[in-house]
Amino acid sequence: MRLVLADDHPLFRLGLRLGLEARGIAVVGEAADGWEALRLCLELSPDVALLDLKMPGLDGLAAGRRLRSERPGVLVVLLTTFSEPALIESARLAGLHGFLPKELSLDQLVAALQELISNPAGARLPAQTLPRLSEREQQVLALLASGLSNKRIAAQLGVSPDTVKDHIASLYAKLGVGDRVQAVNKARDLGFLLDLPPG
Amino acid sequence: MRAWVKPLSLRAQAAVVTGLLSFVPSSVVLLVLLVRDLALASRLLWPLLLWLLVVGVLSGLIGYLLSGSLLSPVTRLEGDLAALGEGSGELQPRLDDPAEVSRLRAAFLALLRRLRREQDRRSAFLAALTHDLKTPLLATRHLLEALPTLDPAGQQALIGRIQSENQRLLATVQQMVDAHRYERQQVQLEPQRFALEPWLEEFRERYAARAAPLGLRLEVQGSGEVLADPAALQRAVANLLDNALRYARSEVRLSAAREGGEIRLRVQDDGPGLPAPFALLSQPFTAQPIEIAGIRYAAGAGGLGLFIARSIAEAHGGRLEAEPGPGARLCLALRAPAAARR
Repeated sequence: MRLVLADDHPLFRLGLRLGLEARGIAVVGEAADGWEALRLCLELSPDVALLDLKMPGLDGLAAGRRLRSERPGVLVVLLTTFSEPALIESARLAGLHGFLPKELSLDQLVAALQELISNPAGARLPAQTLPRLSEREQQVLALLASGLSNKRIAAQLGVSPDTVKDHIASLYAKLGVGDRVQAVNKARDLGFLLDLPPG
Repeated sequence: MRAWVKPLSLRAQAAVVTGLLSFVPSSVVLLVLLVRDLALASRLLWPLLLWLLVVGVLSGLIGYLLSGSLLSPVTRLEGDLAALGEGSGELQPRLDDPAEVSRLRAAFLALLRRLRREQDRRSAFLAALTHDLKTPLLATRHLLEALPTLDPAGQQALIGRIQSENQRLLATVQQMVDAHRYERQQVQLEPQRFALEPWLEEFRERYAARAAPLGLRLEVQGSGEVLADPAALQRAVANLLDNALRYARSEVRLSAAREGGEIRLRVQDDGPGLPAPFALLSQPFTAQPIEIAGIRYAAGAGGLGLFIARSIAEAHGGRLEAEPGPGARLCLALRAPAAARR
């Protein structure tokens, strides 16, 4: 198995490379950011691109998405400390093959990679059951999370307080919660964190 | 003892006060009667006293009932707060509250919002920090596993790297502890007067070794005297220099100069400049957000250094501020000590 490894933490890369090589996997390239990872993968066409999520420049998800369209034959796997469902869903929609936690032991990681590579057609991320929030609801959620009152939210969005009340009621229903503290906590757990950009 | 000190409930107080007040007019009548016509007064004494008592009790009762309805908005607020404390319900402004209770409710609402904002900030910070600490810890786990498979030279090199990573992790944790201490203002300073030149020289020696491998030029200049806690001031400037080294493109400058009544310690770099307003960056536990897939995540312990530097400046009665200019320019200003002693 030929693999390109991308992570912005040099020691993590080193540890992973030593461990993977000891288990017979050839680490043919190492990158510290998403752009470098993309360049290496285009150049080397490895079997697997193992990408960290949080990297400077281009994050692992964006790099993976580009890689999928430019080198469909490369298996793209995210290896990350994040596990929010909204991120897994984004990875699935980007057509990535795997979303593995960094906490896996090297043996578990290698087993997971081998399973993916033995059956690339079956390598599909599970769809996440996420509430579908409208653009307006996401805006209301972000303002709610920053601690604004209904009146202030209404003023910020240029709508009436009653409209805001309706949006909040709809958010509560979609998130399955009963008050704003629970709404914000639930939204954070799902990965709809504060500061959602519109859309 | 305590039972004696404990004040009556507001309703009981209202009942007692209205009851006592009702004695006033009847007592005046009784007094006038006593002065004008003692014989009549002594004949009517007992019926009058009884009358006084009945009016008093009735008034007290009315006071008790009336105060109940007067206090009902407060009782409602109390109920709302109790429900909130149990984690259900929500504190909402109410239009039918009288002005005083409305203000009280508004004060509670403001307090709650502030607490929630604080809590949100902290949980975002904690989440980011967990991510920051997890990767190096996992790295060390993998490296320790690989260690026995290496030749002695490789092992030696790897051990060195693990040690320095361990040091870095410890420094991150120490920064958190310090930030917490400064936030609670539990810091004891021991200011003393010292010359800046040798002090700056120490920085030059320490940081030249770090700047060179990064391809950065380090310029240190300045002289004069300052009245400060040397260790704390060193910590503050070190934090500023660490940031500058991280973001500079080619050059980092540290300078000290007396300007007006102040000693100004400046750290400048020619990097991209501060990523957010200084006021935001120098807050404790403001994690700089990063964006992944359109979702913004707080980015961890990066912001603590500036907060600690600012707190040290302020603990000295000085300040830390950002100055306009290319790159990042941070200035730590301290009051200059009185004319040098001879």
